[in-house]
Parts: sequence; C-alpha cells; structure tokens
Amino acid sequence: MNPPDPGTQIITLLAAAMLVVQLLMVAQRMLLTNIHLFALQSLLLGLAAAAIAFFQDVPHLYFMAMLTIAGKGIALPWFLHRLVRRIGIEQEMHPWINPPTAMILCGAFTLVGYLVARPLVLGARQGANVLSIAIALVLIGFFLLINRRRAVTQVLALLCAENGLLDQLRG
Amino acid sequence: MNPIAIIAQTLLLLLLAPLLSGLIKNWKARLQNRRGPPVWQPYFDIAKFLRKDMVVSEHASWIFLATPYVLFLSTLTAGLMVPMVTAQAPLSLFGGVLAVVGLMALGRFFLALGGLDPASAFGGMGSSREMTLAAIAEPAMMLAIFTVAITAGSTNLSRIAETSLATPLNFLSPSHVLAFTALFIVLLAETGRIPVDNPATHLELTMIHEAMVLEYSGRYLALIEWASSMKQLILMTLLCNVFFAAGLPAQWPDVGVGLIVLLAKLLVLAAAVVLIEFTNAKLRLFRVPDLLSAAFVLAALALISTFIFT
Repeated sequence: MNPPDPGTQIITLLAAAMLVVQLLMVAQRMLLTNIHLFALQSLLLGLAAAAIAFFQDVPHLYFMAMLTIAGKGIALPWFLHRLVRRIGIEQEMHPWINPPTAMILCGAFTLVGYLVARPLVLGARQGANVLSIAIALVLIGFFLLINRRRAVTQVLALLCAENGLLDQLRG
Repeated sequence: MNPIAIIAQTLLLLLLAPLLSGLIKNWKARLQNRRGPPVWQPYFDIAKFLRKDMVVSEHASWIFLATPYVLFLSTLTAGLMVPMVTAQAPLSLFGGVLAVVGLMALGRFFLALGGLDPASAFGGMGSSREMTLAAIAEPAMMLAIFTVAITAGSTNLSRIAETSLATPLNFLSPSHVLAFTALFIVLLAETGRIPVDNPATHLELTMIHEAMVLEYSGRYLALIEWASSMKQLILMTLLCNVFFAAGLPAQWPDVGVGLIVLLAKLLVLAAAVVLIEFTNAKLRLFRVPDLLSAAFVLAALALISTFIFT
C-alpha cells in the first residue's frame, strides 16, 4: 500500500467518518440521537467539501461547505428537533428490520458500493474510495427510508441519502 | 526484554490505572453539576479495601479464592505486552495481540467462575450477563485488531506501533476509521461504561460487573477493582497508541516524552468516554447486543475493507 497524498487521505477519512455515522444511525433506535447523528454527518460533509476546496484549489466549494454546515448541520436539525418536541412523537423508532440484521445488510451495501464504483473510476483523480463510500451512503440511506415507518424518520433518512448523493458529486 | 522496562511499566500500570478511573468519575460528576469524588479517591478505596477483613462464604471453593489473583496477574501481564510509553513493549510473548486478548479472556473467565462459585443468585446473574455480552464484544475486538495487524503485517503490538509511527497516513484509511469505532464501542462494553453497564450503581436490574464481584470483600475486592481499572487503562492505551501512534518514542530511554504524550492522549480519550457517558442513557440489557453487533459488523467491514479499499 503506497501512501497517497495527505489531501486525498483527509477527504477519504471524512467520507469514511460519514459512513461510520450512517451505520451508527442504522444501529440505534432513538429519534433525537438520530437527528444529532444527522447533524454530525452534515458537518462532516461540509468539512469534506472545504477540504476539497482547499486541497484541489476550487474556491467555489467553500460556498457549498458553508451552505451545508449552516443549512444541514445547524438549521435543519434544529428545525427537526423543534418539530419532534412539538408534535410529541414517540422517542423510540420501530424499524421493520431489527438493527443487527439491518447492520449486516448495510455492511453488504457497502461492499456493493465498492464493486459498483471500481469500474467507474479507473484512472480518475480522486481514487475509488470516496465514490464507493458515497454509493454506499446512498444505498444505506434508501434502506433507512424503507426500513422506517414514520414520516419524520423517513425524511431524516432521505436527507441522509441526499448527503451521500452530495458526497458522490465530489467523487 | 529489559528488566527495568518491565518494572517501570508494571509500576506505571499499577499507579496510573486508579487515577484514570478517578479522573473519569470526577469529570462525569462535574458535568452533572456535582462536585464529585477527588481524582485520587480510587487510591484511598484500594488502600481501605486492602486493610479490611475478608468475609468468604463457607460454600465457596478454591476457585473463589484464586480468582482475584488470576484476574490481577493476567491483566498485569496483558498490560506489559502493550506499548505504553515507547513503541517497544517490555514483554513480547507468543502471538502478540492475540495473547493480550487471550489473557484478558482468561481473567474474565475466572471472574465469571468466581461470580458463580458462592452460588449467590446475583453472582450467577452477573456472570451470565457478562458472558452473553463478551461473546459478541470479544470477536468484534479481535476483528478490529486484526484490521490493524493486517496493515502492519504482524500481530506483535510493538511492530504495529512502529508501523503506525512510520506510515501514519496509512492508519487514516477508511478501514481504520471503521475499526477504531468498533474498538471504541468494545471499550465502552469491556469497561462497563454507560450505554452497556453503569459503573456507579448496585441496582440489581442493571448491574453486570458489580453483580459478579458482589461476594468479594477486603483484599480480594481491592485486587479485582484494581484489575478492572488496569484493564480500562490497557484498552484505552491500546486504542490511542495503535491508531494514533504519533509522538510515541521508538526506544526505551525517551520515556519522559512518551509519558507526557500518553497522558495527553488518555486525557482526550477519557474526555470522549465521559461525554458519551454523560449524553447517553443506559441501554436496556436486551438492547445491548444491538450495539455490540453494530460494533461487530463495523469491525468485520473494517477487516474486509483492508482488502477492497486500496
């Protein structure tokens, strides 16, 4: 394994951290924790955008980083938080598939993400890792969407899938 | 194998472990707006237990009496094989990290037996719970450590630390992020921290570790408490020195730098543990396997990723 340059490494690291957060979202059942994890993930996405802007010298991405952190990292979670408080929704989510099985499925999705991404990025600048993680994020996001019963939680899942999609754009 | 290094690390393990436990307790209390016990309270506790008389059930067999010693010594030996203040651990036996995990498993096995031996209802319950959780936590820990071992090409912890020092960027790959998260969850489970067990309570419904050691008193209790705080220190050291080896001196003489770096890393890790304890509620016992299986899947994914993420 020859060491790649620090820029790519940091971007990949942030993408991997997003994947970990996404998997933790699958594993736990509490609604508010889920919102916090989503905020964390958006923050990581914003940081990743900033890292790309910095390391690959594309200044307009700073704008996207700011928008992501302000919009999805702070405003949306705050709004969802307030919504959950106001309608007094039940704290525990009841997914269709229990978390351990769901985790295993999501592990499989990650592998699918890798297999799909590999032929696409031969010779690309960014390397396969970010794209494969992004595809995995989208797949897991859609899985979360299917797996949940209530509207708020489904919206949250959709937003996560969208996070993955944005991640993909950069890959 | 350097006798001075062995003695120094033994002393470090023995002296630092209670301080770490005390620090975590104190910080947690501060966050909850309590003043909390002073950070050196665990030393006083251990000293007090060592002076007290022991009461041993008349139904207890030799296993009950041997358990504290086995637990204490196996934990101490495991600790000597972990690089703490230098990349070179003082002791390196067969199998490296496998031996560390094995020694800890031996201690746990005896502790569970010791819980069962006096035939008290709580002890048996605690042992049963501990084993249930260990059955998932231990494989997750092994897989996470294997991930690192594959990157380093060796299961010897000193070699792993050296590789981590030489090529720090390789240790920031996706597979290591996954492995780190898995190992962190295992750390919470193994040290009986809040989402899994509550170290501050003796409530029958929830306790795991405390239930097993309920029958112990006096000197034996001191040994067991000391051993479990050492185990916490060892796991935390493992986590920070294997994944973030930066600043670890390569050779034995530079222990001063190594000690400061280790303390700084442990403080950060302890702060993370305290924050998790503070912000999370304890999980119901039957929900704990959910969390641990998440750790297991993360670790398995990490291991597979070392082969697929290039």
